[in-house]
Amino acid sequence: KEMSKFAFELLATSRRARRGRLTTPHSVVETPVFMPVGTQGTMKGILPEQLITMDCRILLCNTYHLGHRPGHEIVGEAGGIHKMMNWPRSILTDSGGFQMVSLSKLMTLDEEGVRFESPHTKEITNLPPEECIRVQQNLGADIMMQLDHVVHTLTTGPIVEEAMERSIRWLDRCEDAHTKDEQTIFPIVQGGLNMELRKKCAEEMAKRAKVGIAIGGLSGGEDKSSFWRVVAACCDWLPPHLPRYVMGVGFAVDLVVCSLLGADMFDCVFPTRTARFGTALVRRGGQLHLKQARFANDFSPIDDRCECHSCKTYTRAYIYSNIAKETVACHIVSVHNLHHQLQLMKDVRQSIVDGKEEAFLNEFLNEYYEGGSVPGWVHDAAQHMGYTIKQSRGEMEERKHKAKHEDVVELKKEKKEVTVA
Amino acid sequence: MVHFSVGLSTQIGRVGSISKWGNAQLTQQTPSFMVYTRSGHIPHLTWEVVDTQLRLNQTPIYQMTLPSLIEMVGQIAVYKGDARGFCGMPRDSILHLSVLDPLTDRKVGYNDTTTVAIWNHTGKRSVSVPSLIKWCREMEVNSVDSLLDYEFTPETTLKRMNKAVDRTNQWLESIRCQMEDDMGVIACAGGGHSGQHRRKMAHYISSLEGTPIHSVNIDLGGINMEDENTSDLINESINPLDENILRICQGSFSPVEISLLLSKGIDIFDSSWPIKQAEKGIAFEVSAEYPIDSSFSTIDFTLSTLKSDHTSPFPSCKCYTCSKYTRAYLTHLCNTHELLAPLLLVIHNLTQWDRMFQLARDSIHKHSN
Ligand SMILES: [Zn+2]
Ligand SMILES: [Zn+2]
Repeated sequence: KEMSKFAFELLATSRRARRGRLTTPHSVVETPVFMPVGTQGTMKGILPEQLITMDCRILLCNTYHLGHRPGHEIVGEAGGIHKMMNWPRSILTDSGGFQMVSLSKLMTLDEEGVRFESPHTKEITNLPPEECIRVQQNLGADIMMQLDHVVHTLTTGPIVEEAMERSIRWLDRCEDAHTKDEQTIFPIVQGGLNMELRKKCAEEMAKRAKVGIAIGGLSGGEDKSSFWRVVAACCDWLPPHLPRYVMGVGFAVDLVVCSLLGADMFDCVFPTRTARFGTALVRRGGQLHLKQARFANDFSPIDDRCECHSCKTYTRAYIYSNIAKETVACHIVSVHNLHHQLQLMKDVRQSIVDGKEEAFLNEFLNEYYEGGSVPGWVHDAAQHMGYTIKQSRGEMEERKHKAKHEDVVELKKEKKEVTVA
Repeated sequence: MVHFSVGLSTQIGRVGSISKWGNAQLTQQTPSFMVYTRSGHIPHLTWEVVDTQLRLNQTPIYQMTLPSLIEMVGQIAVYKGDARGFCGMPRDSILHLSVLDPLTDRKVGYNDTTTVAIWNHTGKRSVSVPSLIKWCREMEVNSVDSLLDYEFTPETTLKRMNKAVDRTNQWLESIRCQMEDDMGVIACAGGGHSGQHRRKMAHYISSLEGTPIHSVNIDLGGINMEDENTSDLINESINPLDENILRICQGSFSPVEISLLLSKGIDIFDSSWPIKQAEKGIAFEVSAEYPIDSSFSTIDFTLSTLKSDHTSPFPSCKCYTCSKYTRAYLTHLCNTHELLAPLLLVIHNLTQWDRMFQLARDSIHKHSN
């Protein structure tokens, strides 16, 4: 049944890092992979054909949003999300649970499932695991995520263990409700920042996993040191035949470090969302804020080494003049940002195949931190993996930290907008 | 210079052909339209999308709108290249610079003896003859509208209207004297609701000595196309002009209004109307009998009536949008205010606009036999 339609093959490994190939009914996905997020079943004004030109193989769509508008029944009638949005390649849908927690003011949860009030219609909706799968089966993505009991990353106490245990029971209920062979369910390893719980959960979930598995409950404001340690530990415990998806990871340095730690799949709204504010992602320095006046007469492309259509066609000055005025400026930056993430992962994959990840890591960090010191957590992670970093150790590079902080604030603002809308 | 010759004239309209546009070679059959742009692009479409997904019947003349570019001309002047390069347009694009944006309202009371007022996101900007000439050179456009004092409203005094005619004529004269010979200078024939002033302006244009005027922009700003005397007003502008002068009418006109203007013998329009509809979430389709039957159908995707309709927006349309997406999906995109909605609707509406002019040309040929 579903096992014959999916496959994961490890093509090369180097230390902990894995270069793999995930086959789904819709495409072959080269891993480690970054999955762009098309929240409402569209990629912020980028045509599917443009994503194919960039060799994007898999997208993530949000079940919560699509369940609301246009509604999963309508997507089902349309022949599924692939057909509706004109995307012939792979799609992963999340369970919707995370958005319920973050977007809904009224949310209650018990053994039966999640109950929440829609911020749009004020209607109370019940979402037991069975319904979560029914909705995702209507959407028709290649990869569905189990409904899990999400607790805030920084939560401690018995609730973390309860949530973890409940997530295992809910996975079983999800699998019982799952009837379509052309779709698979990824379990989600929970357990917060507690290593014992994480280990137990990883073992239980791995037993049940068919094609792949996710590491959840991260990217929620935990410190970086805890973040990489949880990823590293889970990757150590999980069996090699399962691709490991670290949810909600999208900053370049996190993608590189997690890939080297042995993670295989990532997703984040950041590249397209930040494009709206005129922020371009670049290897040298991480980000360019193109709304700044210093770009008014800068006639170079966003990145002179980038091969994307935007960099071959437009200057920073042109984008500066149009950002927040014309939607085209946002499309131009989005194309570049998506290309940037996909190219970064391509380079990561190549470095693994060549067994040259250490050199790649150093080159990457040197550019990303512009020759300055590298955060302590990256040093620690590298040391854990047995790599030597040439740049000095900075407990936290001030400027970068500030820039990152602004992005988080921006994302939070954006989230609020969604809630109000 | 614009090289234009009229082929056939019928009750429905006239067909002609353009062989040169400013200093560029161009083969275009009329009636046709200039492709409306804002900030150097078709609204919502990057040039990658235009290149890969938009198929038009003829080589386009891009209508560059000055209000959207005026903040960028300083940058273009510093940039080593022209407006095409700066805006990422195809290198061989043919550009016409429109002083006014057909989708921006005009406000009266701001034009003075040496300048015309235009508006953009920064507020009011003034355009003089020397600045217009300078910008044309920096942007390297192929043609430009001469300046028009558009101060003609039903409330404008006779004295003020006479002044507007005099200014417009003087501006045309000084642009013609100072502009390079191979620049296509499009004379402006305005006059608003005053038939007398419309005639005066057109007469002046046809009486000019030296290099003859080859193209005229007939200004219909502020005129309601449904008024019964509109047809007479247009005649006042057209009748004094030589038949072989290319007649341009820039503005946001519906297919019904275009069919009326075609019958008056207008040759070139712009595509601001289909863009405006797309931005409102509306797609349109004209009848196969256009322009004899000038009725057109529309779909408003902001309404939820088609949210479960999984058919093509217009099944007979061959555009990218109609071949790849459904009414239900477009409704979803409009309801969620996704950027893809205006993008897909611009592609469809422009394809349809292009088809409409093809139908008009075919119909004129058919009815001359
Ligand atoms: Zn680029
Ligand atoms: Zn169409």
